[in-house]
Amino acid sequence: MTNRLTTADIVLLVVLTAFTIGSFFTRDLLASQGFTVVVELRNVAVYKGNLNEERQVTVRGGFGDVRISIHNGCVAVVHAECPNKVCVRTGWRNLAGESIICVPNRLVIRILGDMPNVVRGITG
Amino acid sequence: MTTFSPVRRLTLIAVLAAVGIALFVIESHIPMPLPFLKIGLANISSVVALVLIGTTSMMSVVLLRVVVGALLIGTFMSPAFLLALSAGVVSALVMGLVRKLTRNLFSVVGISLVGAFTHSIVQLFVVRYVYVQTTVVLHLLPFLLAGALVGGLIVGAVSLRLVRALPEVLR
Amino acid sequence: MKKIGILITVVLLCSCERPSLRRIVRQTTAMDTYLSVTVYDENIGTEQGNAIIDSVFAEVGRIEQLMTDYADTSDVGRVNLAAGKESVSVSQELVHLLTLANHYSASSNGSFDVTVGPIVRAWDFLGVEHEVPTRSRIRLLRRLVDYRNIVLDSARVFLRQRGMRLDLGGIAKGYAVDRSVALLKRFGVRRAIVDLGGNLGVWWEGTHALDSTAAEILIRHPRKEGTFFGSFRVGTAGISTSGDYQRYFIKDGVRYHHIIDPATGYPARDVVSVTIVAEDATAADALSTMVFVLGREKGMEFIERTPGVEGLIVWEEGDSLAYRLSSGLQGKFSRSHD
Repeated sequence: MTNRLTTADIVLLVVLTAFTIGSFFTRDLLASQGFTVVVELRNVAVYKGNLNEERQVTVRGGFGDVRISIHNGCVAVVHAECPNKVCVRTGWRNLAGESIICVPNRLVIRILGDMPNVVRGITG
Repeated sequence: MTTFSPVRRLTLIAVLAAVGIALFVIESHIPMPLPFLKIGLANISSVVALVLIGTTSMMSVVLLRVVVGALLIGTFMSPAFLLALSAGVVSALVMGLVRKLTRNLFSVVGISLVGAFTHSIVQLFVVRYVYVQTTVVLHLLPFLLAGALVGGLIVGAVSLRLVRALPEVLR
Repeated sequence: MKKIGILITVVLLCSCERPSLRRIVRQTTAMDTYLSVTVYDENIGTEQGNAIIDSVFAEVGRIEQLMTDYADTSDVGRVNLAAGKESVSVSQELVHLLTLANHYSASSNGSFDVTVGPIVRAWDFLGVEHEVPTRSRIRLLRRLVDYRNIVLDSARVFLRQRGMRLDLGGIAKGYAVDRSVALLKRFGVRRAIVDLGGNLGVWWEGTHALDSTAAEILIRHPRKEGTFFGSFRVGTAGISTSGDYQRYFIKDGVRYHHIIDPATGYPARDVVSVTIVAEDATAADALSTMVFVLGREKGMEFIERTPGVEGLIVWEEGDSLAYRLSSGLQGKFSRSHD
């Protein structure tokens, strides 16, 4: 009976821990302050805008209106009527590559970065 | 694996499924900071089932737990249910396979870690390829893996205690 | 069990770590507007980048000291003070910039004119109390406006008439941007954007103006604050916009803005905004002002016949805005949704 901790368990634990820690580094390599927010509903982009613009965006998902707030260079879902509100609990996000996902509404908010070739200037 | 009579086996499946459902409902009330992040307490019933009554019976426990659990918290046939179903079935299969192939190399702690990691990864890939066709969800992977590590250890530790004690009780 | 606890702690700590940014941005105010310098160069560390940006700020400050007409001690201030009296010794930089300004004046029949100073003063767009100067006052001041009365020699400037005033508001910011970009290049920075109140200098090694898609340029919407009219992409270039929405006041339902037509002494009325893409920011700055005054027909003609210069002209048509692109911007400009 395998009713006690084995050496293989420890080896597995160490390997998986290393794997997990490693995965954080690949994430860090990718992360930088985001620049553009894209809101996709059922795989269709319904809003695209600058992360540094103050904005309230409301989209109609499968579970009623979803209110998205863009504030201080961060984006969050501030109101949703989906069952478990995972999207609202995700909170404020600001890094390129980060996303807020609401599976019931089939809503994805993606933050895009400006490297290597999306650099911006504003004139006027 | 102890051999049980068909009636005993059936009773055990029912009891373990019931425990799994209870844990599943309890866990659905624990708030988590990130989507798809879970301790996976219900997995305790799967791991114990695997050790006590084998892969096939464990599949029954997992299916019962996922379906009845979803009916209870009102997510039946929702994306959350389909995610739980696919990830639950695949991770149960992988746990069964690993146990079969490695015999007694791992204890339930190892098995449960394997299950937790499989669960996280499968879930993320189902989201990525079925629901929202974007690569961005993959950025959640490190957090989910960290969750799987912690959750897998908790589940493994509890299961270890149970498989030590249960055969005595069941005799 | 203790070991497992430590492992878990390590994993949790990792998840709190904040990743570092890959660009260095700093802002300040200079020349009556904002100045923002962004360095995009992974070879430039934070400390080095900050030091470089500090010297860019200092450089812009130096140019401001030289070119402001609000201080009597600046080169421009001293020239203005001595108008009609004597020739003033100034830095070669100012002579160079005035030569360039006179060239633009000559090629536009005076639609661009740095001697518009007395009229700009009379309008006082930076002041608190806004008043429309009387017709007779403007008629009087208009006589003082003529770029041909600037006498330049290698290091001296003389304004022929008493009361004349230089106002470099239509060119000095562009010049400051170009000097900043030159400084960044000298420090070995390979990619950067300098933004002095919407006068942009894009420096992207190995790229050239509209042939490249290195940087996305957003143009502010002339009537809806906080939104954008459209965008296009460029590599190394100077970009500038002159608009009637930048500095203005509304009196008795009429919008009076800061882009004065030297010929009338009143704000130029034909268009709402002009965006110019040129080889450098000095040209973009001067030409956006000039084309604004020239209006949509003559302005677009000027853009089309000047090599290396492209532009966008926006005007009002009833309640909505209409726009025209020069040939080189066509197919490269994308209009934003209102």
